[in-house]
Amino acid sequence: MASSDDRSEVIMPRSEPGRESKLIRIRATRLFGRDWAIAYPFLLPVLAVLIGLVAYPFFSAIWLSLTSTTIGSPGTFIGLANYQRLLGDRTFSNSVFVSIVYTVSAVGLKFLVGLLAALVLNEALPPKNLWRMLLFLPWSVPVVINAYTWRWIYDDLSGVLSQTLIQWGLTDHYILWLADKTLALKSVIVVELWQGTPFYIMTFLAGLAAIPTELYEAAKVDGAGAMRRFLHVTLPCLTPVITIVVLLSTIWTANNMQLVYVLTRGGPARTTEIFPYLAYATAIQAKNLGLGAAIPLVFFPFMAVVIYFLTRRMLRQE
Amino acid sequence: MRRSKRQLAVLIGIQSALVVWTAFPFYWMLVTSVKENGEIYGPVARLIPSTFTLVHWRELFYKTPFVIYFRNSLIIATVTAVLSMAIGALAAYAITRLTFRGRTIAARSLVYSYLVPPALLFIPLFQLFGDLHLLNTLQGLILADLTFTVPFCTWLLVGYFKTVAVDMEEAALVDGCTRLTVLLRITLPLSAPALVVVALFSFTMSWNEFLYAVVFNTNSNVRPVTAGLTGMVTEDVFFWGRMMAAAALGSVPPILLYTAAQRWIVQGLTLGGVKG
Repeated sequence: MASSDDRSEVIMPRSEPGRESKLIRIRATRLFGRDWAIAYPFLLPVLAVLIGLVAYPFFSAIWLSLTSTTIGSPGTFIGLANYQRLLGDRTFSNSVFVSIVYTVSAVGLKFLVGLLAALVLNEALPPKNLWRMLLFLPWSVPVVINAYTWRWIYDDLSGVLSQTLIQWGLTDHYILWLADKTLALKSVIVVELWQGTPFYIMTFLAGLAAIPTELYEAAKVDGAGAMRRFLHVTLPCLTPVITIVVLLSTIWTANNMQLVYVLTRGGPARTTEIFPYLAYATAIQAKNLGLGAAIPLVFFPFMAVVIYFLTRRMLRQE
Repeated sequence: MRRSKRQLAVLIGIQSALVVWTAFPFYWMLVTSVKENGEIYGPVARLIPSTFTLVHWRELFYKTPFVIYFRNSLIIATVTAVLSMAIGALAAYAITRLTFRGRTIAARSLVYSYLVPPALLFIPLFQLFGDLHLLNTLQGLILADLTFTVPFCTWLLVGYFKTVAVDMEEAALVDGCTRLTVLLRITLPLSAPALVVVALFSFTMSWNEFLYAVVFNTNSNVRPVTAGLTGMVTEDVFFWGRMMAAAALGSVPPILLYTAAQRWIVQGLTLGGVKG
């Protein structure tokens, strides 16, 4: 911090021309810190992005949500009317429910599969790096592309999934993976599991590699079996990594509408309409910018709690 | 570690299942793109294709705007990568080497910005870009992508600059070099590996971006691959061969770059929160 900087205490020569301007410079130095005159220009571009493209839009979203703005008409200030409308709206409460189910089950599954996969891969047979590279593929590809690939796999008539199940005699009819009300959300979660787990695997592998082997040896000497070594050595050592990964992934999963956009468009009968998709449908497709802006803002307090804990963790690690 | 035969069998079993689960959709994507339509839409799914054709690939290039999409993605991702690297290096230098008021706040706001979800920003940005006539332009998408690449790059470079020894920089300053010269001539060359990683990440992140692209750019002349794909669905009933060819091609740049940067992925995405 600038306050801790006392190199700004420069001894002033008494009789020198331009003393006035020098005084101002010294005051500025005391106020802004020793290197402010170079630091602020260096920071200017980053501030332009953070303020102009993140902070300003963020606050203008709040303002927008208090107006009746639509695409093509500026609208007027209507107070909390948009929020009131949302709270009384079945479509909205449905999307709250779907979002929670979707996020909790997707994050939970990714965590379990990711942990299992990391434990297995940690002991993997060579070539280890090849397996790691391969298992990371789904994460590196654009989510939309994954979504289209899966939409094709899920296809009603020609999709490989239905056809194979029929060939193997496991079912006698085509299954509507994305059009059946009871199946659609599960099908979307499976894709999210497929494409999101690699991130967990990679981070958990990194966490596992950082655990000192002496701990395991000590536990073995004490007679701890594999299960107890996992519970008392692996898991506690992995906890900081798990916290960061789960929190980060919760934000990403809850706010990502790409899979739903491609796979189901929120349907059938709104059973997959997570809130970011509802926001998109309301603001862009139905052109109601004000109401649309209010939707993610309702969720923002919850996001802010997650972001708060996450930032604390990340900054501590740094 | 010694394992019993049973343990080994379980291990191999789980590992094979993981590999098949991960690889199958990619396999299916590639195979579909070279099958004839008769087989693609036939009643039986053959895991080993019985027909081979490049007609979908030819159609992708000649009958769809895919080449334009690909070019747009290249432009957007490259410019975003270069800009965020430059902006990030300047800011990271200031944060790690200079003393000024607001340094901690500047550093923290980077992390907060990285975490603000696009689902919250796309509506006000849509309105802002509308006012600034930036909708349906490549510049608009570049600016939008900067919202996540710049905080990310800056934060990673801050972490890296901290590990670079300052002796040489101080010597140069004593010799009368300006801060900018020091940054360009000493800090940046010493940080070359970090700069490469940061550029790779920015490139792939903006290559993969979808929400801003699909909302801001409705004109297919300025759409990148991700948003462009959505427009290819309605053109034809039998589009899956072509679509899978497009999917395969659109996956190549991020796969190559992430594979190259694999060692740094974990540290990168968690902003150094998890050491890789």
